[in-house]
Order: sequence, then structure tokens, then C-alpha cells
Amino acid sequence: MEVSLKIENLSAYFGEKKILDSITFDIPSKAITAIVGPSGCGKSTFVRTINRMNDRFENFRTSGRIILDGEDVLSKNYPLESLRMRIGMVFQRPNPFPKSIYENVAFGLKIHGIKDKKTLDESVRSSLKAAAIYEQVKDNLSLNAYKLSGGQQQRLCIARALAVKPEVILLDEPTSAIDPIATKQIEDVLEKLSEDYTIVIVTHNIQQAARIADYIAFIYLGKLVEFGKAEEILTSPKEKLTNDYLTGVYS
Amino acid sequence: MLQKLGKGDVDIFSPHFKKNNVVDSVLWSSGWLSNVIIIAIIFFLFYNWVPLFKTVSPIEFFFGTRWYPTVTPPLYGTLPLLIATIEISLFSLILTFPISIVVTIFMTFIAPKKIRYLIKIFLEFFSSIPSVVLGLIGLSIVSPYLQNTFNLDTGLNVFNASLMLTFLTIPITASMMEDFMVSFPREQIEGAEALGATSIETLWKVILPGLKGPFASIAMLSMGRIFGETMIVLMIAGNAAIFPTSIFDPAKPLSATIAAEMGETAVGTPHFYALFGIGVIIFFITLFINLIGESIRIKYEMEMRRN
Amino acid sequence: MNLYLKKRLRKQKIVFFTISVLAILILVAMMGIIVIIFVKGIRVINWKFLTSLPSFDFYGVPQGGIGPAIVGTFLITGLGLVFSVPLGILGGIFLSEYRTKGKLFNIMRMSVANLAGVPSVVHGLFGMAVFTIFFGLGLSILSASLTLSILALPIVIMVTENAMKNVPDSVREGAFALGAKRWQSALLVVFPAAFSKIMTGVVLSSARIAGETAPILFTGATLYLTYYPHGLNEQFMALPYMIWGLVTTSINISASTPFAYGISIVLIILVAAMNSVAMVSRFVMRKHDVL
Ligand SMILES: Nc1ncnc2c1ncn2[C@@H]1O[C@H](COP(=O)(O)OP(=O)(O)OP(=O)(O)O)[C@@H](O)[C@H]1O
Ligand SMILES: [Mg+2]
Repeated sequence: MEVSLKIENLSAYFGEKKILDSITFDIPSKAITAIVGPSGCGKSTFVRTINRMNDRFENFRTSGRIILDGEDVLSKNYPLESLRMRIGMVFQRPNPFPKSIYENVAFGLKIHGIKDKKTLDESVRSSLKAAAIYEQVKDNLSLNAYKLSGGQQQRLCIARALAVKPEVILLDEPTSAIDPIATKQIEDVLEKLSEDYTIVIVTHNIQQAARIADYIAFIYLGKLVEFGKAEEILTSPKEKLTNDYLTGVYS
Repeated sequence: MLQKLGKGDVDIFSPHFKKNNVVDSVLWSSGWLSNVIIIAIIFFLFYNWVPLFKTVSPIEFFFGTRWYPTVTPPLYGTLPLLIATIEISLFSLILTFPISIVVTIFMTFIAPKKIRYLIKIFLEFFSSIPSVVLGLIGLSIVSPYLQNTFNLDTGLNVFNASLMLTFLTIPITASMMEDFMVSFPREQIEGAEALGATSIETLWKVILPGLKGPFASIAMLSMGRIFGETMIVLMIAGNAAIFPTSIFDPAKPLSATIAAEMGETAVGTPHFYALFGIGVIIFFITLFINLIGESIRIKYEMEMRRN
Repeated sequence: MNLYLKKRLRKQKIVFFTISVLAILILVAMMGIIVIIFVKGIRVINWKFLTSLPSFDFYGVPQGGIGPAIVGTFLITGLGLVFSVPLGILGGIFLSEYRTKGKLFNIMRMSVANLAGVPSVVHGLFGMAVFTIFFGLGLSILSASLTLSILALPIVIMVTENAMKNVPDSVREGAFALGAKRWQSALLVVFPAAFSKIMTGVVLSSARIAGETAPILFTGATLYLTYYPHGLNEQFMALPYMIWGLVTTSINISASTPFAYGISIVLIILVAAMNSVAMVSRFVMRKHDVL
């Protein structure tokens, strides 16, 4: 197994409150890793620590390391802009910009200095294709993204993240705000993408993890309880806590 | 204007802003522009006021009881002007505040949704009618009416000015009140209703007491606005620099004095400096009133956030 | 118990009835003011009134029109906005997108609120001291519009700040997650999203600026012009100032009063038009559901 991100002894705090407690495991490259656990256990905090979204909060602190390509992304000198180019993110609620579809996808490239129209066009097209939304919007790329349905918006957000060619894509419960059919479409997209990208997806939904995940990390009260191949975790968990969670004790 | 603190209002950005590039610096400077202007205002007001003290003592300026800038020797006592302003402002606030509450309650509790929406639009529209238009009404309609009905020497007096100022401030006061009323925590209202309280009891015992803080700050902000209003008092306060003893006496408030006399004086004369001195008084008193209003509001919001 | 409840409900009815009567009375009085203005002024309004130069006959009865005052009001309001809107928008963006909990930031925010609370007559004094005298711009369109722009600045800042804050945070996170810098998120994403709201606010506040009198009293407004101004360094007429002049300084006040009402109608229509523009654009925004 090739490793994309090494999480080493990661703890995170909001003020005095310890949200993540000494988490250590390796996130495999070009596979889907699902982060599961009961509500409030720190799943979102975990993924938002990886691309340092939580740096915005005044009282947020971390300790430990997250190694990407031999460098600690939590280090203060690690440039945020390039970190976020390498690690993309998709949120729980679709959050397209109130701009055209085209502008949404091209945004990441534009802010990183790419102006060439041909390159932009090409990248917008291939990203939309990879997110399986191109066929539905190709004739209307100037449509305001807010006019799309929730599922389409979420795929647009995936396309937007793909356009800057990240290595890792973080998704925080990307299907919890959309309908089952759209959920299925997104799951298909993610499976396809996992051939080329490292995917970390937070999910509430064990069934979803079972359907798409190659690996599963189970977090409970900020601690990593168990990490391993999806089938192994789902069929024969080593920890009692995991078993309890899978059999629905917490939900 | 009052603005409520939104959900994302604190903590959402990194604590220490560092200027990173040109754009950040440009934005940062624009943010400070208001501050620079305030300092410039203070500077230029003082710059054109202080020379007055070559001829007039500060005691006389602040506490002198006669404002006769055109007699010889001229007298520059601003006390009667200040008293007139205070009297008019207080009286107008006494009218504005309860009326605005009544209008607000009517809008939020009684009127059907459509009517309420129409009233909102109307208030917004009315609040942007220039004050000089209300001055015109006071001058050409209210004044003769008062004079005839109450058999007065003049209908241009404290009462008339306060009344028209009230019309000026009701729309903004009521719409600020409405904002707070609408965003009053639902849980508290439902809590009262769950105990079987009628709407009026909920209003009386839960909502209005709960809104004491914001309403106090609204009162201050309205007061700040009334205090410096110029055109209405210029046109209808009666322009007599005496101590008004009754609300039917004419008066000469601070702002009206500046507006009425600046045109008749020459740059660099004591009269000119004295008018800037009046500007200083108005500026600092309104600043003070607004700061009190702001701090009440901030205190209230802190409390809200704690709950 | 039942009886007690009945009593309470009856009390509620009485109180609500009284409040309704009072509120309706006051609203009717306010509408009455507008009706009176129209009744008293409508007969002077015609094409000539709106377009021609002012003049008075031998007895001080106004004859001509208010053309230069309309032009003057539009000029100073427009120029005032030209100066204040760009700067105000930048300041508003800073207040909304660079929020911190720091002390300095609070001072900055306080200054905006305080500047907004400065009475317009003080703005007039300041404008005269700085633009007319210190910078030597004299009594002129330029002095007056610069003065108005200072009055408008905090309004534009607050309008911008509020509109920007209304854009959901998730949109900012989307930009940051793509590696956008703070200013890129602010200017390229949040500002365009808030743009129409900002413009609506600016249109609304321009109505207020157009009606201001005190700031232009000593910075360049004049009561009587027999020509249209040729340059920004000349004096100008303005609608609100003309109302004041007609009813307080003219030789024949009773003959001038209907004119003042006529100008009031023009001002009210102007204000109503700006309010409607704002309302329509709000409606359109809601319909298109873009934030
Ligand atoms: N900005 C914040 N400030 C303070 N505490 C926070 C903040 N964000 C999250 N927390 C706290 O961190 C803990 C973990 O939250 P997190 O959102 O990571 O959980 P989660 O596992 O994603 O839950 P869910 O399944 O509900 O999304 C919670 O107790 C939450 O209250
Ligand atoms: Mg979460």
C-alpha cells in the first residue's frame, strides 16, 4: 500500500477542549478512505485539520504532524495556498460560488495565475467530465450555478476541486444534503476518481462506507479506534467499540 | 443604524491580520479612512474655534446666558442655545419613543402580513423624505394653526419643531425597533405561550422587558439624530435666542444658529469662530450620545451571545 | 378559570384595539403630510416649471422654473457618490472580510458608526473649513459634492459591510479550500455575490444625500441662478435649499409657498423613484434566488 498522508500523533483543540486525541495512521494513496464515527466525535475536525481550514478559528490549535511528500503540512511555514492546491475539499452542503458554472470551475486555476483561455476551457471541460456533470451542463456553461439542483451543485463542487489537479480530495459528508439518486451518482464518481486520487470521505452512513470505501477509519470521542481495510473492519472488527458502532448501538 | 451581530460575526477569521500584499493594504487603509476623517473633523473644528478665546473667555462661551453676536460688544453665550436644543430634543424623543413602540407593536403583532409589509415600505419611503420638506409643513401649516388655535404670538416654537422632528424620526426608530422585535428569540416567546400567556401578556412580560437594552440604545441613537438635525429647527423653532420656558416659546437651537448665521458672518471674525465652537458642542454631544447608545447595544449583544 | 381567561382575552382585545387606533392615526397623519404636499403644490408643476430658469416678477412672485436646481441636485448627489462609493465599498469589504476580535478593529468599526452619526450641519462646517477655505475650492459644486461624499462614506461602508456579511460563510470556505487568499475570496467571490445588494443600498442612500441641505449651505449652494453652471468650480442651485429659500428669505412668501410645495413634490417623487428601484431590484434578486 502506497501512503499519501501520514498522520502522526495528531491532536487538535478548540480552546481548552481536546477534539482529536493522538491520532496516528497512514492514509493510502489512490484509494477511498472513509472516516466514520458517531456525531460530534471529530470527523469534520479531522479532515478540516488536514487542509488547515480550521486555521481560521482563533482558538484552534494542533499538535503532531501530517506528512505529505515528506513535509509537515501543519508547519507554520507550509504555504496554505499550495497546500490547498494539493489537497482539495468538498463540503457537506454544496457551496458553489454565485457565478456561472464555467467561472466556478475555472476559479481555482484563475487565482493561481492561469489565464490562457484554451487551458482554462480544456480544464473546465475535463473536470466537469470527471465529475460526471458535463453532459448535463455542456450547452449552458454560463448558467448561474445556483440554478442547478443540489446533486448537480455538489458534482460541480467536485469538478471545481478537481480543476486545480489536487492529489488528495477531502469530502465532508458530501451526500448528506442530497437525494438518494444524486448520492448514487456521486458515489460512482468517487469510485472512478479513486483510480487517480487519494480520497478521504467523512460519512455518517455505514452503508455508504461499505459501498465505496477501500479503507475505513473509525473515530470515537476524538480517538482513532480502528483503521484497516474496509471488508475487515466491516466483517470482523477487532475492537468492541467498532462492533457496537457498526451494529447501531450509537445511532 | 443598528446592526445585529450575526452568527459568523466573531472568531471566524484568524485573529491577527497581517498585511500581505497591495490589495490587503489598500483595503486596510480604506477601513481606516473613517477614523482619519473623524480626526480631521475634530482638528478643523478646533482650528476654527480656538481663536475665539483671544476675545471671549471659555466660561462666557459655555455658560454665558446671552447670544447676541451682532450687538456691540457682541455676546457669545451658548447656554440658551444648548438649553433650547436639549428641550426640543427631549420633548421630541418623548413623543417619538412611545409612538414608535405603538407603531411597532401594531406592525408585528396586529397587522396582517401584507399590511405590515406595506407599512414597512411606507416607513422606508417616509424616512427618506428630506427634512426641509417637513420644515415646510411646520412653517406653512402647523405654525398658523397653532398660532390661531392657542392664540400664541408665534406658531414657530419648541412644540412645533419637536412635533416635526418626531415625524422625521418615527420611521427610523420604528424600523429599528421592528428589527429587534422580529429577531426576538422564538424559544422565549414559545416558552411564555406554552404557559398559556396571551399575546399581550407575552409582549408585556417577556418581549418588552427582554428588549429593554436594545430599546434604550435605539432611544439614544434617535436622540443623537434629533440633536443635530438642522433644517427643521432652522425653519420652525422660532429663531429667538432666549431661554424657552414653555413649549410654546420660540427658541434658537445650536444647529439652527450655525445655519442661520454662517452666511452673515465673515471668515476669521469672532462670530465665525463662535459658530465653529457651536459645531464643537454639537459634535461632541452627539458623539457622546451615540457612544452611549453603541455601548448599550454591545452590552446587550454580549448578553445575548452568552445565553 | 374560564372566566379569568375570558377576562384576560378581553383585556387583550381592548389593548390591541387601542394600539391599532393609535398606530393607524399616526400612519394616516404621515400619509396626510404627503397628500397635503401634493394638494398644495400640484398646480405649479408643469413642463416649464421643471425645465426653465427661475425668475421673479416685480412683486416677488416666482414665475419661472427650477431647472438649475434639478440639475444642481443631480450633479452634487452624483458627484458625491462618485467620490464616496468606491472608497466606501473598499472600507466595507475590509470590515466584513477582515474581521478580527482585535481592539484596533473595534476602533475602526466604531469610527464608521460615529462618522455616520455626525450631524449634517457639522459636515457643512467641516466641508467649508476644508474644501472651501483650506483647499481653496471656494463655494462650488466641487466643494459641496466632496462634503456630501464624506457624509455618504459611512453609509456606503455600512451598506457594503452588511451586504457582504449576508453572503454565507460556506461560500468563503469554498474559495479558501481552493487556495484563495483573503483578498481573492473577498473581491472575486464575496463582493460579486453581494454586488446587487450593495447597489440597492447605494441607490437608497442616494435619496438621503439628495435631500440634504445643511452640508451645502456654506459650501456652494445659492438661491438664485439665471444660468446653468458651466463648471465644477461654480455655485449651484439645489432643490432642498430652494425650498428653504422660498419660504424664509423671499420677498413674497405667500406667493412663493406653492412653489416650495411644487419642489417638495419633485423631491418626494425622486425619493419614491429611488425607493422603487431598490424595491424592484430586491424583488428581482429574490426571484432569481441568487443569495
Ligand atoms: N469552531 C468550533 N469551535 C469550538 N468547538 C468546535 C468548533 N467546531 C467543532 N467544535 C467541536 O468539536 C467537536 C467535534 O466536532 P466535529 O464537527 O468535528 O464533529 P463531527 O464528527 O464532524 O460531527 P458531525 O457528525 O455532527 O458532523 C464537537 O464537540 C464540536 O462542538
Ligand atoms: Mg461533521
